[in-house]
Amino acid sequence: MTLALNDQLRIPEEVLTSKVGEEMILLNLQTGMYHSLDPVGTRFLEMLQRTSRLGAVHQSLLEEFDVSNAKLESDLLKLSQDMLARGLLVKE
Amino acid sequence: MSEVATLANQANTATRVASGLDLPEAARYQVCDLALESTIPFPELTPAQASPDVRFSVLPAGEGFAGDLTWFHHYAGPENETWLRMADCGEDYLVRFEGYGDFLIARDGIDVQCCPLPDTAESTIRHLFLDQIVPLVLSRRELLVLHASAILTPEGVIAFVGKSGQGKSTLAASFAQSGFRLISDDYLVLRKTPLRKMPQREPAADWIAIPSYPGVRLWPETSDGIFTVSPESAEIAHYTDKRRVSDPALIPFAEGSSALRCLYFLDDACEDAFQPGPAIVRLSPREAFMKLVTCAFNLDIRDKVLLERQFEAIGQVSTEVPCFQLDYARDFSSLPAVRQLIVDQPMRSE
Repeated sequence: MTLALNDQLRIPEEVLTSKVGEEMILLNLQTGMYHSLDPVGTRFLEMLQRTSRLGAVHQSLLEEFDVSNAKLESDLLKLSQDMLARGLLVKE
Repeated sequence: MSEVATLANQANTATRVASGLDLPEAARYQVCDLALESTIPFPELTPAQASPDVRFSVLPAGEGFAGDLTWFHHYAGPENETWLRMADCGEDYLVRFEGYGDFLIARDGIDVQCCPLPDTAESTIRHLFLDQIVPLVLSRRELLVLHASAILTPEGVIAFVGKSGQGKSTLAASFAQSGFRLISDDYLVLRKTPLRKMPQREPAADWIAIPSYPGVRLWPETSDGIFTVSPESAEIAHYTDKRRVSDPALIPFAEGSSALRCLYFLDDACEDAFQPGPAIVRLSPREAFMKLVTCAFNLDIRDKVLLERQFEAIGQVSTEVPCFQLDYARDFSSLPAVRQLIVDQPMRSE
């Protein structure tokens, strides 16, 4: 599945999240697998919980972190793709 | 609880083990803060009078519970052999200990029946019930039940979390022999105090540790290494040389619940011949979370409501309670230094 910044993503109901310190733990109840996100990934997910639009999250992160537009877009799409594959996000 | 016939007979729940002590009627005991009513005696436990929270009965020995079993989980032993299997059995849970017997647990955890295999000793039945079934039953009632030993210090309860063989009982016995009261030997029940009115920045609640029952289970060589005189001990189960030491003069037991101070996670002993002195490293909340997940009891890993509750509780404990990694040489002569480091350490780290 190819992703683009105009896609909308959300955390499915069967995925639980818990912020511990600066990091996020996710439990996929379907697979029984636990996952963790580093502080940057955690920030991404927190923003995605507020607005499901990847483009809006990209814009916010661009203002928050010292990173190029292209690099952020690439990293964001890669992380989203990985989380989709693990069932931690679904496309709306 | 649904009716389940054993393969050997159609025994009802009031039947006593044929080889067991002759109890005129069920006796009551305290384990954790549960009142237990049992058809077999539990010399390990303190008698109680309260109305039972859990009723335990032992059926005549047989081939196990029959019925429509749907197996959903199993645990492997140290040799990778299946040691425990769990199944749905009608409306109940069935826990089968390979080679020893079956335990049938009602969904609400109030009624537990055991059907032992013919050669299973009564001590083994008591051990499996007290140290395996009770924490599983409690995992459906309480926020968190951890595979941990714990002792009471003047600053609160400190717990040693780890898998079998990593030194939980040795540390607990070492502290108890030094005058600290025992909270638990193998499983620790954690409960949140009721919400209190406090400033928003303060933690919403504290965690309290519930004492389990008196005594620690030790290998004979561990007893010899910890106690100056070999203590009186009792058989735990027919399949192990470990013995239960419960002399209150040697292992004083805590009388009530106390606030949890911190958690120490144990790993397997280092294989290196040279091991520096004991060391304590603070764990990040994420590291603590991932370790707690592997040490929490759970009777039904498919129960999403309970999983969600446990997930939330682990998240809170890992952020609200200081968690550390404890490394030390598994050598009896190192235990005084380990104790001193632990007793001093929480005050230095906070």
